[in-house]
Amino acid sequence: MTNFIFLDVTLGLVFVYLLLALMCTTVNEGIAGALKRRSKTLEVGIRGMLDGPGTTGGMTAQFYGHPLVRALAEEGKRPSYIPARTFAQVLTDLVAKPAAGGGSVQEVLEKVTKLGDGPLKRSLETILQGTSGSAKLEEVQGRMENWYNDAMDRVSGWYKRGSAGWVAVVAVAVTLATNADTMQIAQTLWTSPTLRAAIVEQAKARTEKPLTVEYTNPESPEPSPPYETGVEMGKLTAEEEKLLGQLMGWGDEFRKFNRMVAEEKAGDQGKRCLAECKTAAAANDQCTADVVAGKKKEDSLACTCREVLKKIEQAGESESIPGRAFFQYCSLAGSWIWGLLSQHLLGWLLTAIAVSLGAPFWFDMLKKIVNLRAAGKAPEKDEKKKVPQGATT
Amino acid sequence: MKLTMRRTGAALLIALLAAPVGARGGSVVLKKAWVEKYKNRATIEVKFTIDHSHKKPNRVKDDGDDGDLHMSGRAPKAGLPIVAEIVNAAEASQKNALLFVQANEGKEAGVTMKGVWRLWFEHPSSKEQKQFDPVPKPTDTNPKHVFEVHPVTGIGPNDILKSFVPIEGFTAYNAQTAFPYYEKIPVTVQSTSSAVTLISPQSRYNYAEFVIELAGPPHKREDGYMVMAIVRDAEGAMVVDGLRRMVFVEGTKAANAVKDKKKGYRMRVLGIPRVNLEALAVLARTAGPNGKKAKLPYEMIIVGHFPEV
Repeated sequence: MTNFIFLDVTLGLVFVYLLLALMCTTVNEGIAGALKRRSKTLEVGIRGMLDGPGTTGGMTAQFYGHPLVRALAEEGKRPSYIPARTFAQVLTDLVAKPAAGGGSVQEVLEKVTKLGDGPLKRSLETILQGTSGSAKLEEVQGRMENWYNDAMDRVSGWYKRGSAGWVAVVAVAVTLATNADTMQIAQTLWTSPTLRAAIVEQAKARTEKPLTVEYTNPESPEPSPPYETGVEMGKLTAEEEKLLGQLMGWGDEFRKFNRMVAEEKAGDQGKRCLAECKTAAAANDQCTADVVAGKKKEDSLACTCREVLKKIEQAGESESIPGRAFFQYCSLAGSWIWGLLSQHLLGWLLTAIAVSLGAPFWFDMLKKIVNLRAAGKAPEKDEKKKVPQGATT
Repeated sequence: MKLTMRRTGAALLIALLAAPVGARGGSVVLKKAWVEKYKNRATIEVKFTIDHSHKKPNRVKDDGDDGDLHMSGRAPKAGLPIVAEIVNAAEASQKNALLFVQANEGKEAGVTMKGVWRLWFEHPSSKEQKQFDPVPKPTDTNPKHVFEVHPVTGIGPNDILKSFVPIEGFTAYNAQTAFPYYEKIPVTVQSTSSAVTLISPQSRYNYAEFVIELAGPPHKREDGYMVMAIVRDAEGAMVVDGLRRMVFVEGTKAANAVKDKKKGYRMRVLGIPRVNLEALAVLARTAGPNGKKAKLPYEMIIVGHFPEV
């Protein structure tokens, strides 16, 4: 039984990492879009092919000024994706300017030899080596497409490496914003069978989602490779959001701080009440007893403490974000932050590292654990109850 | 004996539970070469033997009658049981086309017909339909089929591109009803080296009215335009996460209206769904012969557009 609890807690953690990683993906895509990182990286790659790194103007400027390339993006913007076919067509046009009807390969080969010395001339001479003048123009363009595709593989690598820093920063930000402490989440899951069961159900539902194909680039409507909708970017269901809310968040921490502020505001009287009566309910009981015993309310410490402790307890129930109080009570804020760090730092660190591994990694892991869990189920006690093989489809 | 009865009972129960699903769904096997040929085309041109035709177009009513004229027949180039539909068939401009259909009904030689190819599991057969297997002669205007030429753009000498306009008096399904439904249609895709099989339940909601917002420029294809768009309802709310491909047929009013437009342009349109063969081809690459469950990839054929958003 304990083995299953351990497996379910692990599954729960993996599921939480997946959901947080999906949130990170959404944020990262937003940042990449705002900073135009895709289009900029693409331009660096194309400049490296046509004019060499670090140059300005040149063939690259002509390439981006070509109507076929301009049509791939909004006016004044650079495309974030250029199909290989468009690249080859535009390059042929820029290098050889073939006459209407397509021109000949001979024409292209001659024009290449007349190009100024530079990376483009060297590259084209290399990739067109062995092409005869009688070959079809499509063959030449096919070779250019292959050259472009190889270069784009490298550009994708640059983009991924360039994104790594952002991924880590966003992972830390998401971890802190949600107060996702691995240790605390594991503890909550270990002690709550209801939450464990709910999270196992949600995890199973996510891994059973079907394959889909999407068109992510409107400038070049080509479908993406098929992917499982369980790893769909940023799509958290309402149930998943609710589960995350039960496992993490700042509510408890804000309650602690708000209570600390209320205790501070109550001053010495508050400290005395807490020491003598501990809770408002206990103070109320004592107050009633004092009145029954003939004591005046004004003379009863318990009766005074009842109101003081009620205020402290009400503040301790409030999840409101500490605003001005945070700055008014700097020393309290300091000890609160110190308490947070000592309690959560390790858990946050583990979460941030895990989340930065990315959604696809955790989705694969989740599928493996769900399968393992299914395979590990206790066998049917009565073999006779088994459904005949093949009858279930 | 008791054990055998129990097993038989269990099998029967499962068969009974599974039967309605099978009866409502269908399976079609397409040749991959055909998929590749048509995946980025709006239309198909076929030699069509008109076996049966409606004598007059459907009425236009709110209850689902859409004013189309149906005909069934055989077209070797499609290789599947086929139904063709002329939209807005009662319009005066379609009179010659209708007379042509009536004159050629039952003639084995067939006629040249061009129109939008449409694969959709609206009237699937309980038996698997395999492309380029012999197609039986239909017995009425609506045989079990998943393949249509709908809308027809030309038949014989008659150009009927003018029929691509909103159907007057007809209330299409609204975006909030139709699209969430399209998004949830499941399909099992099986793939071999030369063929791809689709198994999917019966699908509904032929005509939908919605607003598209161009996510990028329209892309010219051999016989029309394809554009990626955000799908919105009449109030402007997004109804689909992500982008969907919209298919405009060359020469139609809607295509002329969209071809020069840029990202952000909105138009209110009438459309019908069909399987997106380009996305299907991508799914088929990973499906394998045992099959993979997927969301049915679809795209919208734009039949008409409204003057205002």
